[in-house]
Amino acid sequence: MAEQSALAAWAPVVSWALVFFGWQRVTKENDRRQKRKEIRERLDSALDLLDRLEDLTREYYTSVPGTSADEISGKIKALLRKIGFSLALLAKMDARYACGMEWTKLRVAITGGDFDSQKRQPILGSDDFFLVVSDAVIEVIRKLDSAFALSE
Amino acid sequence: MYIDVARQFSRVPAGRYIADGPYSGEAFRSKLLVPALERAEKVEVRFDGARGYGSSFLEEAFGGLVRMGRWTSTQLLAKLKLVSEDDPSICDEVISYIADEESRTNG
Repeated sequence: MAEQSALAAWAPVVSWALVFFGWQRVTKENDRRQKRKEIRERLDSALDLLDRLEDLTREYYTSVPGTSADEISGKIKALLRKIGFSLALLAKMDARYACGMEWTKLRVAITGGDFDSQKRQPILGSDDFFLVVSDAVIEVIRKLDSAFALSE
Repeated sequence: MYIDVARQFSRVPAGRYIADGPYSGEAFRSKLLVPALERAEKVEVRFDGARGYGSSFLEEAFGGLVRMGRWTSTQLLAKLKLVSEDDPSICDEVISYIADEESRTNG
């Protein structure tokens, strides 16, 4: 009899504890989903910018040096800044998205060598250089997408 | 001592050599970096605020410092403090130019 009354006394506490832990779990799960959604949006935005970067790179290197090429070069550098910022932010949100090595490799591939040089010669759209750039873009995308897939 | 690239040099740094334009890596090195390194024990370089950097600019500015032969890469890495809040990979790239250039020079 005494045991039953003791249990009855604890029942509301247990009930509230269950509600609290359930609520905590749901909140945690919602936060996780929200963060994942935010990361996906940032990733998609970065991937779009990477596509744009690859297009501009082709446009730049197939053009002759001059005012028009300088404008494209400015756009490329502005994009590099935007993407770099976005990738740094992703890495801060979750270290698995850190892709500094791949990103640097891509930046060097695009803006190393004769980039912004007056002696640069235009190259054909079929030049192997664009394959190198494309591979470097894919390495960045692979790193980001793999991180997202593994963060399920 | 610190150098804010965007404020003290240009918001649109571009090119490797002075022949490529007034805001090239070579111009940055000779006008700002070398005088600062001669004067101060420690030089902080802030990259934020510029429209963006090409690797040709960065390589010539910092790899070029090692090629000048006045400082070793060890000395440069000790003297320089690199700051880029926007994109920290820029600092890693610059460090690699300084370190790689010395190993290339020494065979």
